[in-house]
Amino acid sequence: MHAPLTPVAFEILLALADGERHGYFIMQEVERRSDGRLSLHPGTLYRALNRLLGERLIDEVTGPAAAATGEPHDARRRYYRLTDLGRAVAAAEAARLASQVSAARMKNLLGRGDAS
Amino acid sequence: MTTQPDRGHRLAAHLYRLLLRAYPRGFREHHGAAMLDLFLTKLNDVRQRAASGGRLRFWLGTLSDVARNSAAERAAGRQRSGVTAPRQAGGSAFGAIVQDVRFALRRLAHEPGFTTVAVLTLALGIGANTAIFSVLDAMLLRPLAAREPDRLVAVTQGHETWWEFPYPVWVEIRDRHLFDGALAWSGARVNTAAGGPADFVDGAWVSGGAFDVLGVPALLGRTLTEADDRPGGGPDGPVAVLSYRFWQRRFGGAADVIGRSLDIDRVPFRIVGVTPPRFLGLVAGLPFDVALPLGASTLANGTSSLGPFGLYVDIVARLRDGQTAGEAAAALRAAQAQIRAATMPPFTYASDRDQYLEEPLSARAAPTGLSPFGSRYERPLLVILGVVASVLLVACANIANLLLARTAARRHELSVLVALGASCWRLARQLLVEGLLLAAPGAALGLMFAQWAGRFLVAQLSTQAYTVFFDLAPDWRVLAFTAGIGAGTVLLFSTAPALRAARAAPIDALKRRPRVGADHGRFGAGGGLVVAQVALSLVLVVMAGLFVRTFTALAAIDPGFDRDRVLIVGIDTAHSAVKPGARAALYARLREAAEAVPGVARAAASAAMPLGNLRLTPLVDVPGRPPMSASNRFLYGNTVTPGWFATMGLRVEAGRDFDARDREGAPRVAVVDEAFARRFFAGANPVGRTIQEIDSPGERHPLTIVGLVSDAVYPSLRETPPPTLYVPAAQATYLQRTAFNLLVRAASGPPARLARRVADAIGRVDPDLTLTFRTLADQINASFKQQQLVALLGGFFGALALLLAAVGLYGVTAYGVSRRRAEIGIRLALGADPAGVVRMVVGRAARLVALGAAAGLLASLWGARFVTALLYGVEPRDLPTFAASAVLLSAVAALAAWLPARRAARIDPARVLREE
Repeated sequence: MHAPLTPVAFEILLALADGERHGYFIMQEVERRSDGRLSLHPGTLYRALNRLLGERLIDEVTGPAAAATGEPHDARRRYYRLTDLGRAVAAAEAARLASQVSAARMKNLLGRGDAS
Repeated sequence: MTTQPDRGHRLAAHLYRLLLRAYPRGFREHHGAAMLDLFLTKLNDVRQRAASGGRLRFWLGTLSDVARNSAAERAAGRQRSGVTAPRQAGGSAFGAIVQDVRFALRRLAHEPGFTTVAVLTLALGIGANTAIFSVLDAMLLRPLAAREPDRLVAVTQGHETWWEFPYPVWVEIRDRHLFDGALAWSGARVNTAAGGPADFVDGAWVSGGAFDVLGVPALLGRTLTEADDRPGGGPDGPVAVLSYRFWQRRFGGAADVIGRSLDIDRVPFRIVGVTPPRFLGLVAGLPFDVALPLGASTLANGTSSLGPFGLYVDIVARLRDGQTAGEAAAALRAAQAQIRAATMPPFTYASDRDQYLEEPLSARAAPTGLSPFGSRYERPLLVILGVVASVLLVACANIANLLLARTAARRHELSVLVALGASCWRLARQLLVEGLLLAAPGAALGLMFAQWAGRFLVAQLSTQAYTVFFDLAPDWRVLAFTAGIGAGTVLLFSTAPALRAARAAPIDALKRRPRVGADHGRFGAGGGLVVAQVALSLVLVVMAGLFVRTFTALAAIDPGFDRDRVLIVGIDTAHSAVKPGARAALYARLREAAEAVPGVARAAASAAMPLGNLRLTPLVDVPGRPPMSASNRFLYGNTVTPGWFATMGLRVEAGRDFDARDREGAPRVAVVDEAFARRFFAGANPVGRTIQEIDSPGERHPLTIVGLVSDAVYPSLRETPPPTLYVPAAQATYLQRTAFNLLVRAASGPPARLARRVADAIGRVDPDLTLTFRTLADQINASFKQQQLVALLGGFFGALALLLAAVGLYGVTAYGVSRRRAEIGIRLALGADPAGVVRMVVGRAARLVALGAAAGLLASLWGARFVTALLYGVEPRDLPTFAASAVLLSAVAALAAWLPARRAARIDPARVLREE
């Protein structure tokens, strides 16, 4: 059993859906997707990462695998990737959100213009 | 200022590492490095993108991020390990503190208004203190960025802290090898324009091995060598070493700057090196842009620059191992007789020669380099530091009052906690933690504010003649000072509420709410704080009044000439083709050209300017008077063209101005001022009398006095106008220097706007002249800059203290009224007169103010002694200033008390009784 994901945790899982990423990339990705409205400070980010690690939703990787991202290798940067469990949880959360969104749409909460 | 990011970056990394300690150890060990990395990357982004407002937001965000997440992570850690921290101080001390911090954060977040006001007040108070301290630190405490600065001594004369010697004295000292090396340094503005308008930078003519003696290596290329320091330049020709700041400013930090050419007073010098960023120069506050070998000064200034009347140099020596400053002074005194004899200037009078031989050489420890500003600004800055410290005290009293009010409001809650077994210490600690949480961001913001305020303060010290710059990046002393006063303020404003909280009685928890009117104790504590505030702010208002009166007294001095109509054009003919003998004719041509410019009423030229740097001190004998003592011989002199008196606004009281008759070869004439007539002719009209001017040893000229003019100040506004002798420029060829002043009097309006047209007119006469422009008003104002600054700061902080005291009085009175609402309502219901209620409330406040004002007046009488040296034209115990300050304070206090009193009088008895 997992507690419902916090928004930050879900954002992190989303950012990792494409592959291994390091902390700075995750932060940028989150800020980019929110158009800069959500600014992640290191404490918030790493506490969330720590918790996801503890719940075995993500893994930590160091070393050559990181080179696949095209980033220069930096020993101080640890990379994170989704575990199978993490992917499943993220998918479940996405499905839960999607069902909420479609419910909202049926009740016309989003308005016509936003339907697409 | 490209050094800033590196240092700022390091400082930020330190700070963040400290903040990381708030996290549990396991978490920190796992993620700390990555978090620091991420933090620094983000900081970099913010710096590149955002203005200082964005940075401030980022830092505040970081602080709150650490506070929230570290506390949460610690709590989570306890949960995971199955240990829930006890609510009381039974667990680890750290856990309890974390608990306190979380609790305090919640409380402060619930009262954003109070929190914001408290943090901003503290930021302003702490920031002002830090700003003044950081300037003092940079001026007086920061060691020179040199090797072993503790071994540096300044060579001085007698008890002076700072002395400049003629170049020949330096040569004598250098060649005697009394120390482990010595150096000479002579700051001068040098023109770096290759042609056209002048472009002055701060040059330093220095001895060859100066940088080696200091232990300052080159950042690029090399520093100066002994070989460079030959008259006319060494084997590499004339060479220059740039300071890091100038290299960045002028050359954009170009790596290929070595070998390029830089014109110094129209002579090309070759750049051979750049010094490191931290070394700003030998003289604190006056950084150098370009260092040049003393020997090469002959190229720019002529061979006389190395003679007895040429360059004056500061001499600094490095002590030998084990040598003390006292031993260094003794070594100098042992060599004194030979050094003086070998460098005797050609004095006229035997008394001058004797005096020169006897003036004792001395040495003084100079680990901070030379500090001309230190001696001038140390006392004003210490006084202002006292002022801002008092403002901070007044601000602390306000915050203490607010906290007291909150403690009183929380009394019930505190009593419940005591009833449940919380110790008094636990409650007091809670309040101290709250205080710390207010003071820490206050101190952090204050540090930022101080950076800005310190730069503003230093900018006020610059004048037309020199640029003042101090490196104000906080060093450990400034950080310790800020942390110290931050902690001090917490103790100050948390103690009273903490004591109060510790007195909370469990029995109060059983009462539903505090009884009406049972709060006299609190009013007493708050009242005591108000008395202290009023007293302190009255002291500050009195001081501000004294400083402002000093400034206005100086500004109101009649200098004897029109300060607002005259533009001074400094003209240097050094690089013009004009021959010395033709200078008088050039003056006349320039004068005509300037007078032809539309908007110019008159123009005239002179060698010296009142309040200027050049002092001409002629010697005269007045026939029929006994020989004069040395002090009586001290005159001021000037060589002027016809029309100078009218241009400056001096009145010709008798006789005539100079005119075309007073040519070279014609009988020599002079004009004297009234002070001259008083001293030498007992106030009788001197026109027609003849005096003897002593040009040089044995050479005397008779001068016929043809005119008497009104007095004008010369050396300083504060001194009465000295006896002054004017001679016509056309007849004083021996006094004609390469530089002189052309004065332009505007027909109407501000003279500064004539500058461009006058420059064009002069350029048509001779394009090779070097021009500088300033107004006479600027020159006068620059002479009381220090008093202006003190008056400005004193006035600002005096007003701030008054405002804070008024807010404090208002708060205490309003709080008292709110506590006594029911009582006042009942009084009104029983038929009390609303005016009587106002009297009652105001009367209570008036007693506090009267007590405070009496204490404040006594403190001012006592404290005035510390500022006597800063005053001019006003007694330190000036009755009108004291009385006006007391009246102003009473008026402000009356307003602050009347507002809540009026509200008390409008209480609706019916409503109050219903609530009861």
